[in-house]
Amino acid sequence: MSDLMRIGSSAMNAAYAQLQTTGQNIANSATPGYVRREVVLQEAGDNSPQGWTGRGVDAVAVRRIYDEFLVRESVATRAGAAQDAARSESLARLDRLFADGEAGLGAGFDDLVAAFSDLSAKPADPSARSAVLARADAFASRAAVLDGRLVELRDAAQGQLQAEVQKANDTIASLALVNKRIGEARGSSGEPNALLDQRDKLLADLNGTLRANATIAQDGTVTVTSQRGEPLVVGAAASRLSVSADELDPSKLSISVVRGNGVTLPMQGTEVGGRLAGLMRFATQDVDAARYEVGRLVASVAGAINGLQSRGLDATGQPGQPMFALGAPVATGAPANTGTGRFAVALADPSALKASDYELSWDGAQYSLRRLSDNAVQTLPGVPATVEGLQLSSAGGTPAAGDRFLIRSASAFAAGARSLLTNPDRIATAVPVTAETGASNAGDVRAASLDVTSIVPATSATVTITFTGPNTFDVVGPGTGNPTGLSYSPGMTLAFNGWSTTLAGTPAAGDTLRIAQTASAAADNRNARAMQALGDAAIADGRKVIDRYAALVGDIGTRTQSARTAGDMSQRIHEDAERARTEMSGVNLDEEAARLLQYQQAYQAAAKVIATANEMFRSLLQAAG
Amino acid sequence: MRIATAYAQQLAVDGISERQAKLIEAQQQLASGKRVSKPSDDPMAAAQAEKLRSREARIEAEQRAATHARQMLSSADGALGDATDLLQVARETLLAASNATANAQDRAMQAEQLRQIRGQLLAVANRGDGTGGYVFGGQGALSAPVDPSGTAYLAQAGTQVVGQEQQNPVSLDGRENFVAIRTPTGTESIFERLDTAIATLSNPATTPAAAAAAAGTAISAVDRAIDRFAVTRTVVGERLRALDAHELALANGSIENQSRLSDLVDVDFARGASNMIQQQTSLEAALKSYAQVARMTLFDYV
Repeated sequence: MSDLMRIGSSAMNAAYAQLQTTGQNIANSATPGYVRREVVLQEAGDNSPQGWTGRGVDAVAVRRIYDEFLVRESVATRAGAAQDAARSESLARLDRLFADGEAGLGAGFDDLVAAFSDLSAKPADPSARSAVLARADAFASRAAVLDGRLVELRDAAQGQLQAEVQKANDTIASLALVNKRIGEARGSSGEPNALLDQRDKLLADLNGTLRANATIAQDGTVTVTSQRGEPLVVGAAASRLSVSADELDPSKLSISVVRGNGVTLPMQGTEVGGRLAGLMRFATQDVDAARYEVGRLVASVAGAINGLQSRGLDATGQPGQPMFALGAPVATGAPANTGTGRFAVALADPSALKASDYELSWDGAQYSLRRLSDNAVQTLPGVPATVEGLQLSSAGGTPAAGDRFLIRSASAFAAGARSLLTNPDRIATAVPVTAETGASNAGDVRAASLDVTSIVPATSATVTITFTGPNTFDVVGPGTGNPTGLSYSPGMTLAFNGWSTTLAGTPAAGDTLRIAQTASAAADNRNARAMQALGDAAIADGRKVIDRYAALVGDIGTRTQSARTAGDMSQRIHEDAERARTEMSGVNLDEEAARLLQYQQAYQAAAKVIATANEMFRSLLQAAG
Repeated sequence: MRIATAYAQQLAVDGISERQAKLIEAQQQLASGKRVSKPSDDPMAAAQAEKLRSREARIEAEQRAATHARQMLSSADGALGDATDLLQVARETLLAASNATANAQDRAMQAEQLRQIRGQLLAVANRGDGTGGYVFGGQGALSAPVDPSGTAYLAQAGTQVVGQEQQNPVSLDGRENFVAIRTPTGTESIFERLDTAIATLSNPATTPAAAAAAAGTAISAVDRAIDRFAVTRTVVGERLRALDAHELALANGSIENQSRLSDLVDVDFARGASNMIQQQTSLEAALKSYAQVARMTLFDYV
């Protein structure tokens, strides 16, 4: 009887444990990281001389129901999804910056071109001149503001990056602590289920921030390493992620792992995985691509207009002053440089600029220049050298082999872009010289074009071309050497004193053509027309400004769209993995409700067994009584 | 297959949010009329739209330049007409002066009339264009291009042009029209010829024969000037016709441009509306099914 009593009571205990576990499952059905549990039962009994005798049931353990492969899959896909989501969220902000075409940099340039068009119709009209200055100011400030917004986006992403690193460090420290506790718990009794849940939850959290590989040891502790194998958690020892300014470019951040013993291992930013990689890629590649192009475009436009200003005359007859200022390009040495070399960089040819900054390095024998936008490298035999519109020259000292320098060019221009002119008279609408045919010319010889390439003291000196026959002419004037008997052919070019003209038409003997100082600079529209023509001229490294800008808009759209698509896809993959994991490990309330009934019945049945034993005992007592 | 209750609910809620977001996007497209409101909506279309927007800006600038050129050429045509009318009157006067019956007093009066006409003609030659320039300003003038003496052209001979795609001349050359009109033997100034006639006619000592000779010389000059104006007016007329064609091409280009832009970035309203209804139905279905499924639980029955 006491056997039956013991069987009943063990069954009751088991059912109670099962009810308790079911209750725990129900209670934690929405707890993040909770893995459903079940009681592991084992028949109790022993071998007696009569054979196997049941002694009831033992609740030997409470088991977490999980599949290590599914857990690993869910954790790994989480890093990918987080990486794409972080980049996609940031890119969506960048995308919106370029949303309104009318408020964009391209439209700003078109407004300026249109103002030059209006000015060329009314060069003497002060309001047309003022409109040009207003548009020039708007164009420059649009570029500067856009660059500022891009920098803000980069800084916001880097701020997020720092917060993520902070979070990751907390998670790493917690993992080390959990490892320690798991080790301690193992010593006592049973599976430390809650600690194992916590471990897996922390691993999942950590993989949101960066891709972390986990190796789970027999004892349940975990060793965590980064994608490239830098150790993050080993037993109870935690490393720390540290964020510091990039060695070459202090405006950017780099991440390294600091181990407990102080050894610092730099991590490759975009290879880190997780949100860190997404933010890193955005803060460097995506934002930079936009900043480089914005800077290059504003420099191309400003350079072309300033060039025309310098070759034209303003309303007072003076050579034009620059209309735009740009941020100055600079070369800064890396702090680790051991040499004393310093370099100066200057804008040499704005129309040849590439949309990129550069890294200059010296290996002891030659310089190499790496274009940061596409990592194209070229070697330079020495400095000074003019490369892609920039002039590099030594600013003193000598570099040591291995020294590196960051050349901020494209990324420097826009921040300092502003218009310089406030007096409308300072717009150089005039070409300094004008060609005039003789009043009594019998032929129709004319100057089809007349351009000034540079103003020199003799530019405005009067030069007269006199045709001595239909095919020959003499030239008279300062700076020409007064050549005679030159032969004429239509379309020929004649250049003196900083100007150059193309002759056209059929001259008659005695015809003259006079190149002389422009009489009314304020009324001349030819240089304004040349500025207007920049609108459709290939001034940005062989392409039109608007083509470059449209390509930038398309590029940002494509980046954003493909990041979003990648994000959707990796999110779906993660959801599939997470669904598979929760299908195994998540709590289903209906199932628990059914189990509740089942275990309640088992409990009642066990109670009945005890009651029966009790009754039997009582009957026996009565019989014996 | 087991379903984890909390995850299933999370998925259902996520699904509803996603559908809501899509519905709002569809609604916003309809409200704004734009299918492409940011580059990522359709990167190729956004880039193309940027070029079309720029092209439209160029067309508008070119249209303003053409309008300006039209105004300038109309003023030029008017000025040439006025100059022709003045010279017709001068011609009549000169004809009368060459009549043998005219006496010194008549000639003095005729000389005075010619002086008036000459003054008016100079005013026409130096007529402003309303924008700070001059109709006969040549390659650009800030002050009256024809010297009051009528013998010097103070601006630079030639014409000023506006427009990039079609270079439209907007000024006339005062030198070839007034100061240095081509003659078979060289050039002459119409003002100078009139001045000579006025001087002769206003001199009481001038004989009728001398007056007739002077008037005759002046009439030849006046005829040459009238011919010159006629030639210039023909040129102006041709320029105006070229402008007509240019403006038409610009207007057509603009229509074509806007229609391409609209095809690229605007919502097709029929498709947009049906898309929105679809999203709405999809959201309703998600909400209803969630409400029903979420209500079902075994706990209701135990």
